[in-house]
Amino acid sequence: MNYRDKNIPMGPYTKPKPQPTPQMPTGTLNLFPPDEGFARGTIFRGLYEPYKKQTPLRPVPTTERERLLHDVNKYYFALHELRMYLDNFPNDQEAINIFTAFQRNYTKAKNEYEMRYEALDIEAPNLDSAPWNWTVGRWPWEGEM
Amino acid sequence: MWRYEKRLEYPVNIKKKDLWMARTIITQYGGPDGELSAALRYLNQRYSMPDDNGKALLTDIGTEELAHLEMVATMVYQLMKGATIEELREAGMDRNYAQRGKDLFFTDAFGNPWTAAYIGAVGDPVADLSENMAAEQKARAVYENLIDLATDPAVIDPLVWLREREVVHFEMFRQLYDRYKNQNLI
Repeated sequence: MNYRDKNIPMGPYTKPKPQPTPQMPTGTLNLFPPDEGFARGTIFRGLYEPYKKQTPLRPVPTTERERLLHDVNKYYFALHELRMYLDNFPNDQEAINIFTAFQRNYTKAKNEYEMRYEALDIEAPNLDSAPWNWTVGRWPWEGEM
Repeated sequence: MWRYEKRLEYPVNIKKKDLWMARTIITQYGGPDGELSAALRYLNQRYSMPDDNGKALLTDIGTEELAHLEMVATMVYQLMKGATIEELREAGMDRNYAQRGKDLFFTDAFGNPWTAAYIGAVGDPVADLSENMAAEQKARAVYENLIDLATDPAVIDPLVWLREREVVHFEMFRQLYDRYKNQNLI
């Protein structure tokens, strides 16, 4: 299993060749786009190993609220995947560039969701007036994304 | 320090009650290869990793396992939601109800309570990382067994997703293990 295309040499700590501007969503890292990676359970194409003939149900957001939460979910997931990869390969500037781009997407989606709907954490901008927003809305285990 | 975001890592929306399925999935909550075991195993081993990259990886994977624990709890909770006393009795959950009402509890599929004996920690990164790789494979196998048992697509989908995460974590641990071997860090 490889994260990368086979023709690109890599070692844990080899300095990566300078890369042109990262081609999201698929550079030499060979990533699924964030939507697809989130649905499949990994953004690394080389690590996707389906069980039997199970194909992922793609979560399809139907409301604006669901769409924004889906964005928060998928960008955080992509960030988390890249973070683990970078723990092992900390000199991969290309991966860091993609990480930085996803960071912006995540922050934007999270702020937008919190402005319009519920607080996701203690930084939420809508925790400034009564009624206390942390207790507004369904808890995640109650369903509906 | 940990922070909580009020959302699941991946959505779980189960509408069909299925107490028998809840009884099997509970093993990924409090069984030997479940998510509680995984989270505590990695978060406990990270202190003795030989370099900062290993400490980072065990922290990040251990943290994700806590999010998986929440997903598994959500599955069991939704599968049991609205169950009547009669339904609980028919599914053999009357003993659970007698002791715990409808609370979740950390047990395996046989009802054995979670124990710290599920977790290895021998202070040797080769041994610890090998255990983690085995743990990920065992969890993958258990998720496959659960997928085989499940019939509702709303149950199968998060199980398939969690199974893929085991594949990814195994590979992350393997990369770290290989590097430690190659660099004679251990």
